[in-house]
Amino acid sequence: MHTYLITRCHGLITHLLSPQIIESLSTTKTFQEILDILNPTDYGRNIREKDQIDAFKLENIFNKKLIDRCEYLLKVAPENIREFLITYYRKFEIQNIMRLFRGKISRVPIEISEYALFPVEDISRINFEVMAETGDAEEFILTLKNTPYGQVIKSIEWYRKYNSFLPIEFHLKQIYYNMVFQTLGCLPKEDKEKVSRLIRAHIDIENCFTIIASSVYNYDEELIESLLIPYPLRLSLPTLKKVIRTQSPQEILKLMSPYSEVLKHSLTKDETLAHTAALRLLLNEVMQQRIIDSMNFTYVMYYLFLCEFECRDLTFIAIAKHHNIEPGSYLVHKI
Amino acid sequence: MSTVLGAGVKPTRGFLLELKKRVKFIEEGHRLLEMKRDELGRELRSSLDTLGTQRSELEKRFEKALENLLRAYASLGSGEIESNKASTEKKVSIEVLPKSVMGILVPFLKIVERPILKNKFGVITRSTAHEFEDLLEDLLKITELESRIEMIADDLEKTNRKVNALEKIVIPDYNQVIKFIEDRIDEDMLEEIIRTKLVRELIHRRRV
Repeated sequence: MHTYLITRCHGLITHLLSPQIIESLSTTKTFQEILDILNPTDYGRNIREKDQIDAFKLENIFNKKLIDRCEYLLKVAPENIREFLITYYRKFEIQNIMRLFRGKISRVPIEISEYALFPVEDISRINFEVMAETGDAEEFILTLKNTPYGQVIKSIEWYRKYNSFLPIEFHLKQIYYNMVFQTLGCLPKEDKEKVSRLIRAHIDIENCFTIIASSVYNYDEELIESLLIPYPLRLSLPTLKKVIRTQSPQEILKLMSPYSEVLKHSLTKDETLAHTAALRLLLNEVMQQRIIDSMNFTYVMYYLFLCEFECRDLTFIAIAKHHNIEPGSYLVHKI
Repeated sequence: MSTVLGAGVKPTRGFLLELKKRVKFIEEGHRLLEMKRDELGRELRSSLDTLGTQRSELEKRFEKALENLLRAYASLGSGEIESNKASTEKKVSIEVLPKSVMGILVPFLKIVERPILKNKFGVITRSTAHEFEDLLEDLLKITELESRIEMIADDLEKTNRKVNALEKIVIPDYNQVIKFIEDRIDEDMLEEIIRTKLVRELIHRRRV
């Protein structure tokens, strides 16, 4: 039974920073003020452990806390749920792989620490150190052969054709979502559909951002079509393919009306705001599920989403403070 | 007599003719240099006006692009941005070629190699990369204009100095030398007339 896991999540959610704290962090005048506010929170111990702290070290602390929170759920989850969660957490693994892979394209040697990788050593069987030592991008892809992402080798041709990391990145995502949908069967029947809906909403957002590249940034239609992730929620694949060949912004907004809030920013090339709008949309989606029933697995998903969004908001605030971005900007980009 | 000609002044009719020819030539050069100076002045004023407008517009766009980059950095985190940055294979390479404007060699900037952005980046990074790429050409145009202004101003200063030197020193000096030679020739002519008169008178007296 996963009741204990859900009950734990109700307790754990109180550890997340309240909107008031996030707001007070947004209005701080100095970086030290951020550290002072975070000191009595869950992040305090990690902050105190470091002598000199800057925005980038703080970003690593936020990433570490996010992964710790995810790992904790694995400890209290029953076997079937654990299997799903391990697959779900592979998104961090993919992000790490992609960060390292992009660095291999230019062959400019960069320290692994500069990629701010998610510390997923305990939940991932991928050896990132070995990957980081590969000579070039193709050798890097070949190291994935004996991993769950072995199929990605087929995308080398696309990588060569476009000399772009996008085919590899999106093939990895396609493999990831396939694995997630396969492990959905581990979840209780009543939760399966609800969780699937949340994941498919995420896929819709991914597809939205992919599709818009054709009309706004003149990306090749053939490439865009190959990057689409199956299993959409509100945007069917035929609709998406139609959008690829549409140039008129009005027509695009009409065809993709459920995501017009996101696309209106994308069409004006303000993608940071579009990204924030997309994350807000996902938050709304998961909140709707939570309101319906707070005693099923979607509450665990709600907790996980909140953990990720807190990590993103805090990273935004820390880096924005480091770069002296005006405080008004954080509030606009706060999820 | 200390003049532009130094000690080589010969008070002869031939030399005077040669000097007058030279002065005429110098005056023609002075007139042309004056025209060049006026044209350079006009060019400098209009280039400065263009620079003022273009520069303030570019600065605004640059500030906006920088703000967007920082927002992107904050939104995606350092790892994503650094890795995207590392994926850019081709760097910008610029060739500086000379181009002649009114005889002045000004630099002309040509982009030889630029990073290819099409089909390369994912969400957020692509908009930031495109924004900076759009700025690149305008930035080069401004750089070109700034160095052109610098060179025109430099040449204007040199031309002005030449015009002033010709107007205030060289031409007056030459005129002074011409006057001196003319005076000397007049003096010599007068002496010659008097001498002739005296000789004529002496011959006349002997006959009488």
